[in-house]
Amino acid sequence: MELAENLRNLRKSVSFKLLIRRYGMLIVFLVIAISLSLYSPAFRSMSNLVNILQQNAVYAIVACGMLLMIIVGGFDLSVGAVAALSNVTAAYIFKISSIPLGIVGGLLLGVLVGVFNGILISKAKINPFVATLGSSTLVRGLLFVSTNAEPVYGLPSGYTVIGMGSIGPIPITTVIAGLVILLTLVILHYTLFGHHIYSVGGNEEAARLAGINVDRIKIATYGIGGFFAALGGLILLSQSNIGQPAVADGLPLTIIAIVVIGGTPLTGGVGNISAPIIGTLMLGVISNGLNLLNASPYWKPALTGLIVILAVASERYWAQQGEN
Amino acid sequence: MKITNKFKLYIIAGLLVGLLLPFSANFDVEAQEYTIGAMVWDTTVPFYTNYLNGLKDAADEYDVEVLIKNGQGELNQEISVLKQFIAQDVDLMIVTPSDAEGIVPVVKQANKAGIPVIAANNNIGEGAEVLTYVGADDYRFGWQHGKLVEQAIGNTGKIAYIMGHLGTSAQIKRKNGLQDYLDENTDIEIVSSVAADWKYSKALAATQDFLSKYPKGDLDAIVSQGPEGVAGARYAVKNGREEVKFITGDYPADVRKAIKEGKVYGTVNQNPYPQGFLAVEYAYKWLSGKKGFLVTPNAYLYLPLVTEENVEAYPPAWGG
Repeated sequence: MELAENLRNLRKSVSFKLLIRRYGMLIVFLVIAISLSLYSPAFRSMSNLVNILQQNAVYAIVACGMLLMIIVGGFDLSVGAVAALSNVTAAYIFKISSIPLGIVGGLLLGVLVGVFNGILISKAKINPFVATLGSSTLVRGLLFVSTNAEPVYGLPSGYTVIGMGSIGPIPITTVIAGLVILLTLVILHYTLFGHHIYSVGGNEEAARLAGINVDRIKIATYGIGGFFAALGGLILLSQSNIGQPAVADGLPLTIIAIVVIGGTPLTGGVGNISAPIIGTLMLGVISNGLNLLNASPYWKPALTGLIVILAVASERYWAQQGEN
Repeated sequence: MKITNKFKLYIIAGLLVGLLLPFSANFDVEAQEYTIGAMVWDTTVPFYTNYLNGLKDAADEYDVEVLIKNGQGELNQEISVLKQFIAQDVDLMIVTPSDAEGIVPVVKQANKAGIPVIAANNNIGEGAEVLTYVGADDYRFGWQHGKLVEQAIGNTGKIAYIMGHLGTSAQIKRKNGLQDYLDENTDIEIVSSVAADWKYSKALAATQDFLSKYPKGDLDAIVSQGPEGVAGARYAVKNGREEVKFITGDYPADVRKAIKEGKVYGTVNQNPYPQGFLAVEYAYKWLSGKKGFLVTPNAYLYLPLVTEENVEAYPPAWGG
């Protein structure tokens, strides 16, 4: 009788710990979102929630690629430059040829830069910070040279459907982000390649000894990261309808922050798809909420920083409480 | 001596560098009478494209040599460019600083070296000797913005404001000019403001947030300091919020198109081309002794308001 009681208690506390450990950041996020919706009727309106999803689709997409690169044991500081590269290249091809060709061209260049990063890191053994910072500067510099830093104007207006249109109530950009998230989930958990990403990030030497072609896994992962960054650049293009060489300049750090806030350690080998989703929504909801609450623009960066630190700190605190 | 592989590599690398060097040299042997150093805040910003064109065209027109150097958007880099000009002993410097105050010490050095200085597009702070300032006044830009808002929505109303990157002089002065005009001449109130860092995606998000926050009838206009407000204007029209008037700043090709389509009410046109041209023209006149030609201490260029009524008369300031 007593034994059964104890067992039940034990199971209860274990599941509570597990809950906090696995969903800590989600709970913090829900607390923020629910308090905002109680406080502000404008926040909880359907159209605002839809806007939040649309405004942050680019971040979610690029963050999925970053998640893979962080799990494999690196990260990528060139996602902003890659987004700008596909943004400008696609705009240019739209003008001289057609929209489908421009999309393909932009994505292809993204993959190329990603693969280049992967080769620098795996074959030339340059650490990811230097390799991707270097390729970022190189790509951005070549963009400035080839365009004189001038935006590409005069694009067909049909393309803005992607950035502005919606399928039913759901914005097209959100649908694209959803597909990217699904694809990342499948890669990570239902393919051998995904399994290898975890192995390489967890212990590169062990992975090599187990017969995994470590270099190829890294190159492919950075290629996918480049692809998603280029996709983000194409969506930015569909919102402004001008190709801008200087677009997305602060993107890489924001994206890395999203993945880390979502609960991914930078050490590699660990992480799952909830990180880009929760991290993106967290930053998106904070920004939107501060706008709706009429926060002063001078206070907004400081408040954002404070809320992020508090959120991550409280999650860590609860997780430790759960472990003890 | 045995030539090792490594040694061969050095020779090849050395030859390659040697091959490339002549390309970077200037073969323009025909010496011009005057050499003018022009330091531009950041030549990669699209806005400056037409400014650079103005500099170059005037250089051809008056047959002077204009050395254009990029300040790369960084005060330290700008200072080292100016020091280089002083070392080269150029005849005159045209300076477009990112920070009016921070550039003062090095301009004083130029004064000491006897090199005259013209400030263009962005002014130089107190304490340095400057022949004149050629450019637009961002405070007056904001003032013109106020006039346009009044023209669009009348003497009273509520507006939301999308600002550029906080701390840039355009952001600060345009805001002060707008605020002062509205306070002194109207009962229009800025009910909310957001910094969108001169970015289209951020300005779009800010517009969406404004429209969520203020239902129909609660907001008369959304004003953006730069052209990036145009994305939000398209969004508003698409989502049935035409009652909100959109006013942008500057006049690139996409803003012009949106004004023609009726999506943007109007904009303030700051054209950088005449600033570049006039700066070199002034430099030439000063050096050739026609000092009375210069308008001092400030040569402000006109900042016209562009709306649907006169859009045809103005070609875009850039991106055409």
